[in-house]
Amino acid sequence: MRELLNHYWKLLRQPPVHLSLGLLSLGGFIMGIIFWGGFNTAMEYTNTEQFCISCHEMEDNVMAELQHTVHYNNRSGVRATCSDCHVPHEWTNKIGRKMEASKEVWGHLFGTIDTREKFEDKRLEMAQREWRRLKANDSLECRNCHAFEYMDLSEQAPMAQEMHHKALDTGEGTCIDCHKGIAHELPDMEDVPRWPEGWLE
Amino acid sequence: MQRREFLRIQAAVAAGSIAGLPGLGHGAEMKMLEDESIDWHRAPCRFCGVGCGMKVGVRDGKVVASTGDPEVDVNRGIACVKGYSLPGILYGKERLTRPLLRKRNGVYDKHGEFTEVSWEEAFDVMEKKLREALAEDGPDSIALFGSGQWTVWEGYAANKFMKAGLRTNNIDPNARHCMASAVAGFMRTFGTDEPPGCYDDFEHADAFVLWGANMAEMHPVLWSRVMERRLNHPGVNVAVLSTIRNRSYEQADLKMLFQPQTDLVILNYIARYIIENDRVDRDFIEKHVRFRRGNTDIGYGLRPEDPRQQQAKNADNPGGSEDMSFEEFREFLQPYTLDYAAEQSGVRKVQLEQLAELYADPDTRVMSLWTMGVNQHVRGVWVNNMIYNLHLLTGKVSTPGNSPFSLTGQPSACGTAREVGTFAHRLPADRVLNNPEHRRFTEQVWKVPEGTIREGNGLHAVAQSRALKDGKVRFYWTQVTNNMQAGPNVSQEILPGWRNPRAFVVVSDIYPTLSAQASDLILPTASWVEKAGAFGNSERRTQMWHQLVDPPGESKSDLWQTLEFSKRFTVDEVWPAELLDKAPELRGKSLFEVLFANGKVNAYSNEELPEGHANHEAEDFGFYVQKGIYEEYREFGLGKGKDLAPFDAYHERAGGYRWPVIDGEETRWRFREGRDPYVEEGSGFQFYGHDDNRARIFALPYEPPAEAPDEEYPFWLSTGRVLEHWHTGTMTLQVPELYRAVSQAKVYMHPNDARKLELHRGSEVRLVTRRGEMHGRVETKGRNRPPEGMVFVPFFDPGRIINTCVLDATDPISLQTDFKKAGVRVEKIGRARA
Amino acid sequence: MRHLSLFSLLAALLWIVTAVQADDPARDLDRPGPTPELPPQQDRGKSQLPANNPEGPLVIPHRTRGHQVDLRHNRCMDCHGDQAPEEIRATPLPSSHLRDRDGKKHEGMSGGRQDCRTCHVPDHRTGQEAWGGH
Repeated sequence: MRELLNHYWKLLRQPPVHLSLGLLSLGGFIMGIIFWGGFNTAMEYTNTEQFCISCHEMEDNVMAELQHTVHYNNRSGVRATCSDCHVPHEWTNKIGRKMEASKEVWGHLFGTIDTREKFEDKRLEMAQREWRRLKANDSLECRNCHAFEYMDLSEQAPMAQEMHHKALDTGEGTCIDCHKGIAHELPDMEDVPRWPEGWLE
Repeated sequence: MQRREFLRIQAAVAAGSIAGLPGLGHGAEMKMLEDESIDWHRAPCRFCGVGCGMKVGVRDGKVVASTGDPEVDVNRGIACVKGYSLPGILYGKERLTRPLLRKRNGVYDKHGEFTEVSWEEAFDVMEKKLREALAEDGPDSIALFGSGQWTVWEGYAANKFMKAGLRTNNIDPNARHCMASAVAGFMRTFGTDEPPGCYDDFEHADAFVLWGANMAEMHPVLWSRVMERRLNHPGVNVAVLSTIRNRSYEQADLKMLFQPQTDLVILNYIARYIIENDRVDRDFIEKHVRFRRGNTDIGYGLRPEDPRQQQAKNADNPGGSEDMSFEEFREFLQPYTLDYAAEQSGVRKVQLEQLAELYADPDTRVMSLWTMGVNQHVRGVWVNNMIYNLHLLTGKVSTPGNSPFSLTGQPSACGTAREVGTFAHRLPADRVLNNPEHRRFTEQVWKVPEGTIREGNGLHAVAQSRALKDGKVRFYWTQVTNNMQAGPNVSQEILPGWRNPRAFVVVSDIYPTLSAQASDLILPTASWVEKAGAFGNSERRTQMWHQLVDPPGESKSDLWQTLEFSKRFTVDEVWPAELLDKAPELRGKSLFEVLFANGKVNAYSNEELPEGHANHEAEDFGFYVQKGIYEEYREFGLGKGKDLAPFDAYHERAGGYRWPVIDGEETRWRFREGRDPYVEEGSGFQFYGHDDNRARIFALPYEPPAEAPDEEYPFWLSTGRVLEHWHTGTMTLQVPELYRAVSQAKVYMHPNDARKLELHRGSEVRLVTRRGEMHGRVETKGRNRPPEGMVFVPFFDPGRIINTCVLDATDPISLQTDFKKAGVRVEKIGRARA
Repeated sequence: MRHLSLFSLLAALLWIVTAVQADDPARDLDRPGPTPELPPQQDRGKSQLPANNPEGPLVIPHRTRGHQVDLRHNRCMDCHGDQAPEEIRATPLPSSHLRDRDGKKHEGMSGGRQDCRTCHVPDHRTGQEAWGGH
């Protein structure tokens, strides 16, 4: 076995004798495309709803909850899938989020939330993680679709107009400060502020 | 108006003014408060079996306001959306004010147009038609369909008119669709109808288990008592078992979604759990319980030619049972393991165990609650019995907080339909037609000769529809109910029956319901506080009220209608000679004289009438009819554990009394020593409905529903109500707020099912069953969220009659229809291209 | 081609036998008609008292579909609770809602008032007459 390995190691270290540089470059290029394409495909596949709900934890809990909300079903038929809100679009953050997601795979393998009870016990923790992330990036994933600068406030419900004007004027608050529980059920909110800090003096 | 009674409103006003909020409507409330022209009175709510006490505001002869009565224990000042809508229900644009008869060329014609007629003419035609039926086909070609919304005296008068006057037992209340399984459950387990506990249990229980009941919508004020207990007392648990996700399910601690009909499996699993974990209250069952093995394979109450009926082994004796031992009972339960229960019901094991533990733990006081999910069930009586099994095995009964509690649907399902015995097999106070002593006692109270009341059960609700269709019932009168919309299998059974040329159908109602439109004669009726009344709620509480306003136009109460119509027949015409021979002094007298001017019913003069209240019946008949009927009726319950207080006592106390009322004291927990005066000292408990003072535990298995989804009809169909609308919407659709809140019955279904069928929220669909079809629009995001494979449709909407689709299969013991389980196909209604 | 079961045949036969007479004015009472489309839900201005009952609870002038009301969270209280920003001008809870059945005052809303929809109906579809107006 060891001899076999040594043999190949030597082979790899030898400069090419029979192959042209062009062929090698081409081969490398093709391999690169295949690798990169595969990587991207994998990245894209793991962004699909189909992939997300292949775990029953996601299908039975968060997906079932999403189905009753405006982010799944609404008058214009524009809908959000899991990755729209939960995976950053920008490359480095995306990779960061994907790395983080590997923990979720462990969670699935070890059954961290494999029953409704376990899921409910973790709901607050999981929600807080997402709220924190969105708070830190100024609700970037919300604003990928809902940009303030293109909003017609006068078309909104009176209360929404009021709140949005206030947010714009004061510069305080980001989407997620108010819009929690818009796609999934809320955990026990006893200790979670429901409005931006600074609005309630 | 007394200011101190309206702390609630004042508080609201105060809150509004502190926050400095203008124009929130509190100003209007202030105006009402100071408005001296409004008189405030007391009456129970017109709607459900909860029986909230209401304060009713009257101005210029109209009901103009209503709010919860703070002095009535049921609701202590609050009401639900329907209670607050009471003033609106009487004054809809379509309110009927004159009798309407189908006429062509000036005479009655079944195919004629509705034409206004006088009461005289209406009764003339009714009399002629009844006489024809009587002469040609005998008294059993006459039938009457009544209601759990009758006042006590209306039900009593109709019962007496039919069973003693016309001598037919063909009288049944719509409570047959609603409470019959609960009744049979009580009679089998306890030997006497109605709950051991009362609403006070809400403030004592540690756990609430809802068996298929959506209390948040159907018993909202009691739900607020559940939630108050749950949220103000840490450690209290709410468990909800349901076949769809609904508001009660959402608000529960333990949320369990189960496959239709598998409640039977879950109940036996819990019983097994209690026994196998040695949590049986041995002392209790040795002293107070007997074990019975119930008959099985009992059929589905279908027409006898139906194969499902013919194959059933015990279709002729569904209620039979035989003694068994505790060990045999234990043996019987062996197949109902956790694995089996989880697999059959779809409820997860951990949840089943948590549920079972609520019952098994001796330190957890459990209140079980149920209504239509259990009662409208082809094995509804069994499920009632099996819930009692759990409470009896653990001795959790008749003590505060330990309470198997059957909720009722209608305001007087208990007070009128059940206690007065307006069912086709019953007489007042738990008596039955097939017991000669019971008949004899009733004849004595009614002062009619022996043999007047005939043996044998009359036609129950579903049988009445079938008999009309078969031409066997020819004169049919319905009061305060809308069976054309609320009854099962409308297209195949009910409508063809009512429109059968042999039948003459009279409907007494306040609005042109579908039943009224399908009838031949409509009688305009007085409703709620347009007459004096009495209702009995779910917790054995009787409440009375005075007439507060006049009914519109020529409308008359059902009581007036029955009594006035009874004047048109003499006993000589309707009783056989041999019966009259026994009481020659009755010869030549009218049924009115024999039944209602009998020296008892007319014993109270109009001088006793309360001041300041009209009473149209007393004024027309010349005596205090309601008091006379009530005092005669009261004789039935005395000494039977159903003692009612004297008439006047109910007007003197807010909220009335819960029977048995002994020496002026009401009873909150029956069968328990120290709580119930009927229980002897030293016995602890006595279930005195049975001669041996023992309650019964029944061994009953799982049996399949009459119909389940198949390839052709792949979805379960379940039907029910919504919070905003009462039954068939007759009254509540007249109220703008309620109409706007829920204006159409939706087809609730799962979004995945909708997508598979290429349907959208709002798509128009055709629901098709083997019996009929209904069109409606898809709702995937509403308050009810069925699992995949099921659709749910409310029945309040007269424009979308879901009961055309419902199978008229019944529990064979209670003869109550299963409105919750049928196979249905969902088809998209496409738009044709122009 | 769908296989006709015995039941369907029976049902079809029964229908022929039992159909209501052709000239009967009530013969089509059970026939389904078209189902009107409902206008979308809309938020309105101020809440009002129910038209027929000045003692009744205020109606809800805004959309509530999907609002979470359960043991974890009561969405109504986000705006109607005492934690809400003043600009919202949501009607605050009257003090009656802090009291339980026995009149005891609680710090927040009493448990019995948890399900707001028990008493308050949403009123957010305009242009609809009550049934009698049809």
